[in-house]
Amino acid sequence: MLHLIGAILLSSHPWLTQDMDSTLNGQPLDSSRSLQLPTVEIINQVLGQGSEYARLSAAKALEHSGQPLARQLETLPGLSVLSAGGQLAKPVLNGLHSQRILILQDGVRLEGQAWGSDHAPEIDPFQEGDWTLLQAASSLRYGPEALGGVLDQQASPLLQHGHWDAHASTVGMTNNGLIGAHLRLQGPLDRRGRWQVRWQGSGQKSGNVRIPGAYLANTGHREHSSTLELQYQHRRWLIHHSLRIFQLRQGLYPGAHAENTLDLQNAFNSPWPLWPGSRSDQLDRPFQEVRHYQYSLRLQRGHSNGGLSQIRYGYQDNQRQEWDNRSFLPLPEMALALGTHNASYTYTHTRGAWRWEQAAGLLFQQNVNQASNARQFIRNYQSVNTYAYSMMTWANRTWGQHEWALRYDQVGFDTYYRPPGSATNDPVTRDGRNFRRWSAAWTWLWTIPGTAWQCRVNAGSGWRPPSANELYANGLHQGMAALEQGNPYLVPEQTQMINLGLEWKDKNLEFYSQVGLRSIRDYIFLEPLATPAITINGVYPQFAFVGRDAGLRHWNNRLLHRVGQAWKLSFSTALVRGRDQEQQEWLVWMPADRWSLGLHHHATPTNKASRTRSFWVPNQGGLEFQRVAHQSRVPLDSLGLPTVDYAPAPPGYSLLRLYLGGQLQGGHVHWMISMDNALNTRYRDYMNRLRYFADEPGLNLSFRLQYHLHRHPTS
Amino acid sequence: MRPSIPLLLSCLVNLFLLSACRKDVDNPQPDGQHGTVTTLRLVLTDSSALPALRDTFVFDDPDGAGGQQPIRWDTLRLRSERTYRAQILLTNQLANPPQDLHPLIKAQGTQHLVVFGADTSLVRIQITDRDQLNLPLGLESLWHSGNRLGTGTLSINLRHIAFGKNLNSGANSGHSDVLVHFPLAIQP
Repeated sequence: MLHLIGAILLSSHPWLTQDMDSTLNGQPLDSSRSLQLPTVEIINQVLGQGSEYARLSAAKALEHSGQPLARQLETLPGLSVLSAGGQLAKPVLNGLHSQRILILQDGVRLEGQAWGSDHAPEIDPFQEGDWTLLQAASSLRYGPEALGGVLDQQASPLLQHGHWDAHASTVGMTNNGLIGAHLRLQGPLDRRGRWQVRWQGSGQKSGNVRIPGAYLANTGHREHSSTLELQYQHRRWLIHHSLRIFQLRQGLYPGAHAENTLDLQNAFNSPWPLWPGSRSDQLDRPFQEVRHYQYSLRLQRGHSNGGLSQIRYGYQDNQRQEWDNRSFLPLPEMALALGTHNASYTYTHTRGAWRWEQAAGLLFQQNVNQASNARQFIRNYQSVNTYAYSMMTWANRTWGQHEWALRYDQVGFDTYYRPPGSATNDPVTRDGRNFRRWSAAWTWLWTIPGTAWQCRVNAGSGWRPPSANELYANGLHQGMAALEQGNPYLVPEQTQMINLGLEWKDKNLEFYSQVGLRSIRDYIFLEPLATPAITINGVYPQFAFVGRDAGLRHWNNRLLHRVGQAWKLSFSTALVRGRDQEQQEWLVWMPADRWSLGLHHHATPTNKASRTRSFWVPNQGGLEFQRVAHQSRVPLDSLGLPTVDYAPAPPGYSLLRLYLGGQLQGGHVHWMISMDNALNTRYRDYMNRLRYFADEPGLNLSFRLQYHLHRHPTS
Repeated sequence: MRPSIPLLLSCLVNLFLLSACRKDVDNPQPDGQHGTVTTLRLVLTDSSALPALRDTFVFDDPDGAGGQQPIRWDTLRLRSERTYRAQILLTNQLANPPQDLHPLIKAQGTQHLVVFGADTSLVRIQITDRDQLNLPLGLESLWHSGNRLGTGTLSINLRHIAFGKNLNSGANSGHSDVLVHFPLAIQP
């Protein structure tokens, strides 16, 4: 209703009734040659890059197409991956993940992350668009919890070329027999280019993962995705609809579905997987099935005074079923559906060196357990979040660019539950709570006069209410051989953070370094309980959610040195430290120290030699060496054994990646061959929950082929 | 000209989506935990006695894989030098009405195996039932108590072997659906 009222108000606003100029800066707007909306340009100009921390171009992401999204993002500084095997991988930013960072697609935050740490973002890994990492002030637009960082995927503008365009790509991998294909079509629907449409669809299928010396049973996946975008643009109006459908069925390694500590110990003590598979793409229980439907609408109008009004509406329906291998009945053990409505109105105005942005919005969410007689690990809940924020930007040649943001949120949260053994007409246990707090952030970007040095400061204070599983989880966490207990007395996490960055950028050298300090009051995590639970399935360790004060520090560095016209040397490091400040103990599940070194060759289009080469002669290639250290900073007892973990952290490892690519003359067809884990190294990663049971994938050879109907320059 | 048609279309789409609220959020299903085993009943029949003696031993964990301790955990008291016919019954008391899992496990016998663990000088166990592939299942068995009096532990472990159950399958195959350690006493 809110967006409807907004639309009516917008339509009836006095400045809408006046006649609009048909030109902007003397250029006619009513032609497909000036398709870029003037209001979009205004926003891009004033936004600048103050809070933007890093960017991954669509072209770069395509080099890793077919891999889970989080793996593609790993190339951004400070990003690592928390995995539960296969496609179930989610990004970790400076030690924070899940509900502590937000993932946006076309401005809509993906809400499936609210279910916990073993759920991957529902994004087509082929999806085209730049990924931007936002921190501090501009991240507060999307939520107070976004102070951990925002990963924002913005689809490329629809009105790029003024003609029909097609792009097709395909990928094949040797390790798990993955095959995938993607097709994108876009173009104008009418002669004047007011209506534009883009459709893209993709599909992927893979079989069992091969680790050095063995296959892992039931680790294949099926994935389908389709997106339709429709845009109307005329004069100062922009109306953009987007509809996305994403489906994933991910097989789960049965050996990881340990049912008690005895099973778990058997798995730990075995150097080889207890459930070896074969080269097969058969999928059986246990598996996880995800369906994600997402619709978003953006209504945008520029005003003659330079202001911009924007109404956004988003609806998403996340459906998740978990099928355990205890298949007494052909039913999922858990079936959740999360529906989210998100509506907001934003007004942006620029005057001289100042820019203001004001917004108010509503986020309404309902979570329902759908399967009859199933386990309710997460209760039914309903949440209403109303918010408003104000953001101010000021830029000056001497003092640099400043962004200030202030936000207020009120969250009403109600849960509904009938305990085990109840009848359907028994009374419902209802628990309601309210949270309301302020958040604030500041970003400063300053260029040292007369140099190529830039300083960047991000600082702020944000918060996060406890999620449904942290408050009310009760029972067995599927596949984790652990009983988890929610804590209804948890209070919101309160974060204070500051990041200091230093950058140098000239023709031959790019350097980036950032240190960050973060203090989190009542940081919520799982802590083991002293007594294990005796159940009919055996003996389980018990964990309960607690809130403790914690401190996180990180230091990320990136260096890129160009050697000659075509060669580049890259070096990056990422270090994170997390401490439980009350217990004076390390925090569990923090990424280990890592560094990487790469040598890349890319013949630019201006290079005469590259233009004369044939299709099969590569024009780009390189190698990347990555070293991940042993995570020694974990909670240990007096005997040196882990206190919060099932098994000690695995040893460090080194990986080598090689790649080679080329293109047809004219740039319509690109090919790339890459070799991941080129030395077939046997290793386990601390941030992968599968590390208790099996090694990481071995050697993988990937083939990628892309076809562009029209050649356009890519970054 | 104002873009009235695209605006109207947008509003209609959104009105339709706004009606997509889940009306049953405040009327949740009971937490049935289908497939969870809460109660194991072991029925032992001594057919050598006249009249035949029949006894039922129970392990009852009403919250299934929850954090509460079991409310009943019997000790198996057997007489020495006897042969008992044993039958295992599994139910889920959390479901409403309670679910008898015995026929389901029997129907999926090719993926299940009951593995018994006990001191063979106290009791020897012989599986008598078979699955659809004529492999041992273990829901029915014969127990032979020895002539040694004493106490120990007897474990009943229902293994779920989703892939490749065969004659060599045992306590390390697949994973546990049920694992109960009963105290055992052989009496005169």
